[in-house]
Amino acid sequence: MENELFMNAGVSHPPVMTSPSSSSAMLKWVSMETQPVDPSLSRNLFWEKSTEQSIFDSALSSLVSSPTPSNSNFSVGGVGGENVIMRELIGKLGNIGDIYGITASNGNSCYATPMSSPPPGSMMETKTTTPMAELSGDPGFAERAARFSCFGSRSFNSRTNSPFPINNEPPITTNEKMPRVSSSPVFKPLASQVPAGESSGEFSRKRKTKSKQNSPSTVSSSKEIEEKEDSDPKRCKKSEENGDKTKSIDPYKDYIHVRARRGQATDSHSLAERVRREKISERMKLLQDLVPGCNKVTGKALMLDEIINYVQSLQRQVEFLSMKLSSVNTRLDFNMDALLSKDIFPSSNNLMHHQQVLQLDSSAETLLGDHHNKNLQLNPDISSNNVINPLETSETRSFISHLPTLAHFTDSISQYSTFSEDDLHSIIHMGFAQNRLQELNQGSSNQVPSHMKAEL
Amino acid sequence: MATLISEIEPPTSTTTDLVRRKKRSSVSSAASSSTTAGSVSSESHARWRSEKQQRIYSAKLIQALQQVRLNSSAATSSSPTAQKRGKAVREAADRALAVSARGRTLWSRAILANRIKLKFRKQKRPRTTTKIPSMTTVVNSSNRSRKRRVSVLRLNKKNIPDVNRKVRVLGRLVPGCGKQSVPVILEEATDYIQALEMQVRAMNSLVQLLSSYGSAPPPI
Repeated sequence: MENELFMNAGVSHPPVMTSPSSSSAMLKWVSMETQPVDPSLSRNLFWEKSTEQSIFDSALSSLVSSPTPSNSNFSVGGVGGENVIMRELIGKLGNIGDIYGITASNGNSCYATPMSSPPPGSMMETKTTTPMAELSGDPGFAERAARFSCFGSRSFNSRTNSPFPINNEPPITTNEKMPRVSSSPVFKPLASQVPAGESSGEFSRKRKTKSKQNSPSTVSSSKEIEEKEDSDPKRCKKSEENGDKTKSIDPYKDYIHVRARRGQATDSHSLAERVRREKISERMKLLQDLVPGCNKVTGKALMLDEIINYVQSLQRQVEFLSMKLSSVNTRLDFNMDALLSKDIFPSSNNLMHHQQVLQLDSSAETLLGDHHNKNLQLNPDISSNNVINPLETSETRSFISHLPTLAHFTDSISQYSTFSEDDLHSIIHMGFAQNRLQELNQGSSNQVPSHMKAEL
Repeated sequence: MATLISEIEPPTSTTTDLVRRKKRSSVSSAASSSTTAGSVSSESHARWRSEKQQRIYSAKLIQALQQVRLNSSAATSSSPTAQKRGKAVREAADRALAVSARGRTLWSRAILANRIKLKFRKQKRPRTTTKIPSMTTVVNSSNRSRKRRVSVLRLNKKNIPDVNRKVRVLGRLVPGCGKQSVPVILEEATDYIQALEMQVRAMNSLVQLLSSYGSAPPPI
């Protein structure tokens, strides 16, 4: 689905779009595509209060339905983080929150600010230039936008010690859609939360410069901020969507950054505990899919019982089959050696070379996979070669007579029946090494085990 | 002989293999960046169920079995007990499975390491030199001549919550995961179960083919 979105978007985006499961950015583009590209409309999408926010949120919520943990695991981690950041910002800031979320999360995202790296798509330009045009009227906006562009630009090092005196800023334009930004003190945690949120995407770069000292402080500070946000008035109607947590596991990082959910404890211990529990439950879900009969069982303990039983039964099966194999092996000792010698013996003549050439042309996998074509191809060869080697033909005929008796493999076996044994023998050994095949051709059976030993 | 190898593959259809290969390629782009269990196990799920993997494994298995047979026939005058032979076959099968895992998982490495450790200790045994204190440990363990057992604690008596206790039990079942943490055990268990399923399928088909072939020897 995401791939289709990617194609439909029709805009070539920078590294964000490398991950096929990209987030709200993609859907946003799609929603933009479906509507007429109208600067005024694009503006409305961002800054209209009632309807467009709901559109945006519905688009986001439809994305939210996709498993959220996977959202965070993007190569450009910021995108996944921004999914939640966007939602939270919408809820908290309203219009300008959108802008800030968009402007702040630049660089990697579609919503590059005009102040930061130039947006790649033309659509982006229309979108972002017009916002700037409109918002330039806001006296404090340029200031704030500048500060947020600092956030977006990865020069930003610490979130708590944000250099900008946000407290001194004039209050944000009165907007009923910004329930949480009514006062400037609230704006400070918000501002620092934006980087807190989007830093989940920027961590890969900042992590290398940051010392470990900073990171726990910032992580803890982000959690404090969460606390403040959570305790804020519940006018925020987007809080439900903010309930999802971001968890970005960045390969460059030591820490897993988690956002506290609404209404839940935010101390580091419980967050870490939650991360651990999520990991475990994730793996249990995978196990549940594997083990048959686990779907009906609810609860981890019972599921684990089932899993243990299943593993034990599999191991017992392997033991039983190995016993059976050993007994069959001993019975067939002479047969196997005879088979091997037969395989080896005719291989020295031209027959094997013909077959080798034939099989070299088509890879072994396609040969075995594509039954029908190869059957037709090999049939004439085999029929011609059958005259040369009566031993082989008798073998194959006897084998053919047995093959239909095997219930499981009737479909494919009938296709294989036309192959002679050393055809396939050569195919298989081709897979390993050409020289091994030649050794088998030339040497006696005594050579074979020595080479096998070397391999094992 | 070679038809046995080919006929082991039929259980997995080609179409599913193609589907899984496509899925694998689409997953790999996300998996390359992310390292969650989800992506890893979906990739491994595709891996263990693919025809290619089964073919690789079955070929290795057959070679191992041939070697076992040759070993047993060459080594002993009196035929070894059925149990020992079965055990040898089982170990060979497990080794082949571990090799086809390509060393990415804990359990596969543990299986191969155990074998090497045993061999190493068996070689060390005749040279029992107690001069170097470090060697004594090797000597002592080689005298036991068995795998070091995972400590079977009385989990029932401890106040470990149910889930953890069962995960520990599961960890003992999976080779090499006796003393790992819970998420590691779960991850290893997913891969191990898939590998075991493939092993069972391969051995089943091999047994059937061999027995059917043996029941009616070709006229010579």
